[in-house]
Parts: sequence; structure tokens; C-alpha cells
Amino acid sequence: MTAIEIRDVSKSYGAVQVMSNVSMEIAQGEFIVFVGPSGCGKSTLLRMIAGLEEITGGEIAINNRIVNDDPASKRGVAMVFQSYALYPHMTVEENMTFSLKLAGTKKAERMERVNNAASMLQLSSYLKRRPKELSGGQRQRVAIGRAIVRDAGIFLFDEPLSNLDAALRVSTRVEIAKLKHRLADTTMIYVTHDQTEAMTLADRIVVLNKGSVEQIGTPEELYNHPSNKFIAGFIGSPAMNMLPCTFTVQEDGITAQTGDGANCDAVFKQIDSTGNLTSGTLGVRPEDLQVCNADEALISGKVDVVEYLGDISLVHLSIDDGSTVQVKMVGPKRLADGSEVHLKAPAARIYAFDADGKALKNLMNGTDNEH
Amino acid sequence: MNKQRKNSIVARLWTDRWIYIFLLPTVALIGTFTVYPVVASVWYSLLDWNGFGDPGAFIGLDNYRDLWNDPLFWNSFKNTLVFLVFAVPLRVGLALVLAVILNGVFPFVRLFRTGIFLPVVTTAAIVGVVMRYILDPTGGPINFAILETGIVDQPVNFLGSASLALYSAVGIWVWKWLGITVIYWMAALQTIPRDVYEAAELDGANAVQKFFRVTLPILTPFTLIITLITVIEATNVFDLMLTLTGGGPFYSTEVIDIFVYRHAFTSNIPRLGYASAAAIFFAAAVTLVAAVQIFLVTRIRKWRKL
Ligand SMILES: Nc1ncnc2c1ncn2[C@@H]1O[C@H](COP(=O)(O)OP(=O)(O)OP(=O)(O)O)[C@@H](O)[C@H]1O
Ligand SMILES: [Mg+2]
Repeated sequence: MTAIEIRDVSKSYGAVQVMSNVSMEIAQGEFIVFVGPSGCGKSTLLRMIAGLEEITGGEIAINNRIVNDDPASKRGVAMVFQSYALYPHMTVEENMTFSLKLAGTKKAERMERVNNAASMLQLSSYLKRRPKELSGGQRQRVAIGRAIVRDAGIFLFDEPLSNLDAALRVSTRVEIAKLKHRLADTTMIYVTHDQTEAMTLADRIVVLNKGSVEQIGTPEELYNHPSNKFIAGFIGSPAMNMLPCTFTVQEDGITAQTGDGANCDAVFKQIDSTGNLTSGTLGVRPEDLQVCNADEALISGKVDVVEYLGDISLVHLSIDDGSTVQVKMVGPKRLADGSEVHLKAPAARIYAFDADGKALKNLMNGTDNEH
Repeated sequence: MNKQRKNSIVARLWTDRWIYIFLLPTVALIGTFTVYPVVASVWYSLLDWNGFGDPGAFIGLDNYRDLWNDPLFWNSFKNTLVFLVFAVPLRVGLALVLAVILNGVFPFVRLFRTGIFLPVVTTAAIVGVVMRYILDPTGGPINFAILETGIVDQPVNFLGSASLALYSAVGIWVWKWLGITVIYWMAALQTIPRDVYEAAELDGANAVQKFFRVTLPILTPFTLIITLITVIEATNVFDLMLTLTGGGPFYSTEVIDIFVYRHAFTSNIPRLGYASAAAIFFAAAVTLVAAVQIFLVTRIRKWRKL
């Protein structure tokens, strides 16, 4: 069942257009994550769904009802703000029950719902405290509790973890993942900058860039089959290595060449355009590269820096044309600075993009390429 | 040990001696024009002295006893209280409503803000004189206007009627000083983050509920302070009242400041000692009110843990 439908939505502030033609369908119970660079319009889109921002073009429907003109309070959405937005003069309990009081819910039911939410979020012993007397993580849980108590069909989160320190962010992320399972019927939309949050929490990720949708898909789809160079560079950390290349169009597919003597076994096909294809970009993820002999190398470079991260080492190489390449290697690596390293990647794990950044289909990469 | 400490204080004073030299002009000015007059008033209030020539005889608390038995003193005390009771809530409340409105975004909002602030920068004495013309029953524009509309069939003697004059003065004072309180409130409103309102909106609060259940409670500490400031300001309306009504008619607008002034400078037999006693007595009363208010502020703050 479709919970939210966004049809051709755009947004302008005066003459400045900040979103254009955004469309998507979100099923009930889905956990959707909006990611994208700063200023791409994630918050704006979320706030348009919430009813806090006017929709200047297109339509948003919630449960098949167009809500463009409905006030925020009538849309059945609850929102968790980055800054928590708790009422400073109310206790935790009052914060969580404010909406119920306004709606005239009986005290017994209010208490029951608060106690449920509080035990779900381990807030039971803080109910009489005011926000001032809570830690950041506790405040954020109260903000989430406020949404749970509302029993809204749709939860919106705008970077809820970005004010927390790294450890707390991880544990609260796990809490949210648990919440998602417990409230399986609740549709959740979650805005974040953080890739890990996006990859771990999302049923589907929406990547936004400059006010429009770049790609919508499951984390696996975005990681394995980015539809363009932007997504390829955006999803995955460290980012995919990009190498300029030239293409040769042959009968049985397109091959790519990056430089003298470089080996690229992959064969590609243009997905739907048949335009003239001469040059573009090859992409290889740092985790797909392996050390090899000089004669089978796809990339050769000199070691700049080795960053040892415990389980892996991140090796930065500079290659002849002046660009840099990053490689993830398992365990500690002792590589002398300036030493020559040759790398290859499985043909199926090589990506290619045309001059406009559009992905080519890798013919070595089995059937799961279709999406 | 003790000696050492003393030495170090002396040494520290000596190292910082430049600071004290720079403080000197301020200390001298405050001493001459604030501290000395206060101390002198306390002393004068114990004298039977007309303010001219040699200080008069020391009469202990006699001035205070006379004051206690002076119906005109209690009249002015009452007038100041009535003034406070009407003017303070009116100014504080009206200013809050205006601040909430002017905090919004609508055309000409800057013009309105300026308009409300304009009387604040006008000298009170000038406001008093001008208002006498504007409210004049024979030919003042206000009376002209309300006679035209037909609400009344007789001109209203705003400042000349003993039952009305004090309330007219309240109105003029509130209008004159409203702008400054609006500014205080607007600053206070800035401290409430926008997303708290957005959260309230999503929680289903309408504009009135947002005001009474979110804005007002969050502003409580500001409300207390702004009220305290306004109370103190409302006890000091000498310039406006003197030019507006001079305390009349029939002492109906004679607030404490005017009472003191009359006895000290304008009556046939000036009594500076007596006037000082009135001023000191009233100052003590205001201090008491302020102390109670401050006590309440800290109590409420502690209780609300703000
Ligand atoms: N009130 C406004 N007036 C004009 N432009 C605005 C306004 N609010 C946002 N914008 C613009 O809209 C665009 C999208 O803003 P938005 O806050 O949605 O970005 P975001 O993706 O949430 O960024 P971030 O990750 O930094 O929070 C930005 O380019 C921003 O400058
Ligand atoms: Mg944002």
C-alpha cells in the first residue's frame, strides 16, 4: 500500500528554484533515507511532506489524499528534529503527551502510551525531568518518544543523530533500527549526511543532488549498480576511484583504455542511449582493487601514504597523470613511501561512465545488473 | 598567613593602580550625583528645614510622623499605586501582543516597528505639553474626532476631570514607553527556536494554544524581569506628569514624585526635610516591592530549573 506519493514536486523561494520535479512512491512501513550533499534539498523535501514548508509545484499525497493544502497537524506525521525541539518548560512526560492533551485524550490512555514509549526508549526513570537535565542522547530519545506517543503513521527524521558524539550516534542508530522493526507498519523517512546511517537503516535510499532525484534504490542497488557517476562517487566510503578513459566500440561490446599497457578486461554496453562514445570515466572501488604483477595491472602508482585503520589499511597512491587512487587492503601493510604498486580488479567490478556521467552496463557483471 | 594575604591584596591593588585611576571619574560622578544626594536626603529627612539657608533643627522621625498623618501623602501614594496597577500590566501585556505580531513577516513591518518606537525617543516633557493640546476638550483633535463619530455628545475632558485624568495619564505613559518594552519582548521571543513552534504545530497546537502553552511559559523568566523593570519605571513619571497635569486637578494625578517636588520646591513654605522623608519612605516601599519580586523570580527560576 502506498503511504506517500510525491508527484512532480518542486519548490521555489521567490525566483530561486531549489527543487524540481521530484517524484517517488513510498510504501507503508518502508524506511526511506534521503541522502545527498549539503544544500541539495533533503530538509526542504522532508518539510514539504510534514507541512512546514509550502509546496510550490506538484502534489504530495498521503494515504491517497492530496495534502498540499492541509496544515501540518492534519497530515498524521510526526517529526524528529535535528535540534530535538523539545519544549524546555515541560517535563519529559509533558513533552511526550502534549499532542495527546491537545487532542483531548483521556489521562489513563495518555499515561499508558507514555509508559509504553518510555520503556521502549529506556526513558522510564526520566519522566519527571526537564530537557535541561538530560544528556543529548536522552533528549533525542525524548524527541523520538514524542513521535511514538503520537502514534502517527509517518515518522520524519531530519538528521536526528548529527548533534551526538560518535559512540552515541552508533548506539542511537541501533535503537532506531530496533524501533523500525517494532513499528513495522510505520512509514519512516530519514534524512542524513551519514552514509553508514543510510546504508544500515534504509529499505530504499533516495539520493538527491541539486534539488532533484539522482537515483532511488536499495542500498545494494546503489552500491552495485549506480546509475551515474555522481551516485558512484557518493555511495561507498572511501569514494570510488575515477580514471579518465577512452572507449572503443566493437561489435560485441565496448572496451575501455585508461593508459599505456593498462589491462581492462571488462566489456560494456550503453544502456539506452546510442550516442557517440569516445571518452569517459572508469570507476573502481577501493575495496575491489588487489595487488598484482606489472603485466596484469589495471592501475600502477607510487605509494603516497598508508593509513592504518586496524582491520584494514587505506593506501593512497599517486599515478602518472597526477590523480590519486585509494586502495583498501586487509590488515597492516608495510609499504615504503614512493614504492611502485600494481593493482587489478575483477572485470565484473569495474564501472564505466560516458562523458555525461551516465553509467554503462558491465556485460561481465551477471544478470543482477537489471533494475 | 593573614599578613601575607594582606600584603598580597595591597600588592595587587598597587599593581592594578591604573585601573583605579581610570575608575576615578566615574566614581566621582556617581558619588556626587547619586550616592551623595541619597545619603543627604536621608539626613535632610531628619531635619526641619526649608532647603534654604542653614540646615534646620534635627527633629528625628517627626517628618515621618507628619507624613503618616498627611492625607495628601496617602493620596499621592494611592495615585502611584493605581498608576502602577493599571499602567504596568497594560504596558507589559500590550507590548507582548505587539511584539508577537511585529515578530512576524508582513508588509511594512519595519515601518510599524519604527512607528511604535518613535514616542520613546521623544522627550517626556514635550509629550506632556503636546498631549495637553491633543486632548484639549475645546478644539483638541481627539475630541473633535470622537464628537464627529457621535460616540459622545459632550467633549471629554481627559485631563481636566478628576475622575479621568489619572487614567488618561496611564494611557499616555503606556503609549509613550510601549516601544521600549516591545523591543525587550522581541529580544525575548528571539530566544525561542523556530522548530519548537514547528514541533507544536505538528503536535496540533493552533496559534492561541501555541501562545499560551508554549510562548508564554517559555518567556516566564523574561516576563518577571520586564515587569520588574516596568514597575520601577512607573514610579518615576515626574516629567510627564508635571507637564501633563502638574498633579491636578484637585491632586487627582499627584503621584509621589509630584508630591515630593511640590513640598520641596513649589509650595509657599518649602519643606525640604519633609519632602525628603516622603521620598525616602517611598523609595523604601519600592525597594521592598522589588525585593519581593526578585525573590519570586529566583524562586520561580529554581522551581522551573531554567
Ligand atoms: N528560506 C529559504 N530561502 C531561500 N532559500 C532557501 C531557504 N531555505 C533553504 N533554501 C535553499 O534551499 C536549498 C535546500 O536547502 P535544504 O535545507 O533543504 O538543504 P539540505 O539538503 O537539508 O542541506 P543540509 O544537508 O546542509 O541540511 C539550499 O540551497 C538552500 O540554500
Ligand atoms: Mg538539512
